[in-house]
Amino acid sequence: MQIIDCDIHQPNPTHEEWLEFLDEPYRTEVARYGPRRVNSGLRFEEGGSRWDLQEPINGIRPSEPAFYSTQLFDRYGIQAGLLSGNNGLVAGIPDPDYVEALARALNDYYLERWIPADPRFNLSLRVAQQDPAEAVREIDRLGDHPRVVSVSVFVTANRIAFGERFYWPLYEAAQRHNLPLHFHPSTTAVIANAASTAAGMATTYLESHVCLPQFYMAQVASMVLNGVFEKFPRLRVGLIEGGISWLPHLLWRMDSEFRGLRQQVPFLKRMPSEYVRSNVRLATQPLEEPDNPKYLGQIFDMVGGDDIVMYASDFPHWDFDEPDRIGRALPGADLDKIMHGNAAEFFNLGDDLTKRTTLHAQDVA
Amino acid sequence: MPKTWREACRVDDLTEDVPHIVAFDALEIGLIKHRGTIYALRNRCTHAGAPLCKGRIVTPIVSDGPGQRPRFDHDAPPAISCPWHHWRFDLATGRSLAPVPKPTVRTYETKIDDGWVYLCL
Repeated sequence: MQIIDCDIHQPNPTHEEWLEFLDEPYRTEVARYGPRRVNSGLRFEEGGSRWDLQEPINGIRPSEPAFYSTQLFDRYGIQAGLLSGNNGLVAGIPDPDYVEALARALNDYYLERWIPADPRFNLSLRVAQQDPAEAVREIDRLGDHPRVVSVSVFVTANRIAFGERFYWPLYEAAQRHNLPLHFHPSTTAVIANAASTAAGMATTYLESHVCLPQFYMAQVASMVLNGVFEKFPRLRVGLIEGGISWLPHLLWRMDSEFRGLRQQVPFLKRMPSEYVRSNVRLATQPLEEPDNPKYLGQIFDMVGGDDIVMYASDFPHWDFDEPDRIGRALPGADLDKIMHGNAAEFFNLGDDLTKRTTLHAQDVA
Repeated sequence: MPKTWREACRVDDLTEDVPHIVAFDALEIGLIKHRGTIYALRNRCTHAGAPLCKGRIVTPIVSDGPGQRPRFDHDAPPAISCPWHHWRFDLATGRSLAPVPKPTVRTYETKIDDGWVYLCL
């Protein structure tokens, strides 16, 4: 079976590796003081990655592209994967000029040093999401690269909810380049935004991690109910690391409340749940683990999981899911669609999964 | 069963945009006069069984798209908004104003004769 992995965390480059890609004056600043950091005050366990992947294997270091080729792609028979990286260098940093420079440098670095190393690698673009005009320039600069297949957006309780018009230029550019948005939680960014849970600040990483779906519930409601998918009907959004079990409640509540309060959002031409089913996709990892495994299958059926769920490993993070786990957890699911079909369509990958087939939205209109 | 015209109320009993409820045994029907037309629909919301005709007559609100200011659509048929959960139904057809038109509220044909409103039941 073909497999596409929607969430792979290649490491941040060391200073020596990527400073040459960074524009001044930030090159001098980072060389002298290191990159700027926001800190959530939440502690991962031992860095947040698998403990069995900390040392070189067969002489290949964990920081090398070949490590990912061998320990993930070769080992599990994965045909294509998305390098979504780590968000700590850019997420939540308030200064848009600095973030734009770092995002540009990281994009150039990965496109030059990682993407050519393995035809199975694809890149999610970093952009300065806190300044959509800058984000548009970066999407326009690299958005037609055949191995750039998505735009990363980091999600917490953001300062401005994602349905608001503030972000619409970014969405227009993503749609125009036929690039989906890759929504990923950002634990490191929460301190710079509003809160690390819907209730307020989490005191532990455990509490923060458990509450990640709350952001997705709120951001999806914001996007749907502000008409983002009515305005940008070909915009696709992938929700990574949020699981799936929270979705039925949101869909049912949106549809039910919409019937009584529709006059507040008269620009919606379809039921709210229909926009989610047509424009939003969910990644598997970390798949929920109910006491009775059958319950997961029931929820999967409620949301039409065969059509909207995509496999993700989260390699090499500590809560990694092997591809085989999906079939065991969801024995009745359409694995062809979940393991590669839905992702191939989402990322617009051709039959051989090596590059995007169409680069512009008008090509598929 | 063949339909019959039943006497419902005097035209003078109706006030513009104020539902007037009449009963035929257990069947309650709301009559609404709006711009010269008399609409009739069952006084029971298909959502949760609320007395629908205790609700308000409203003008539908439309928009030219996201980012465009909503406005009243005075050319559209009026709607009734249920008193309990505010679901809205087109007075002429009984269809929900939501993009999924079901469930539909039963509507009835009306006519006026000699100052009386008749319902086709």
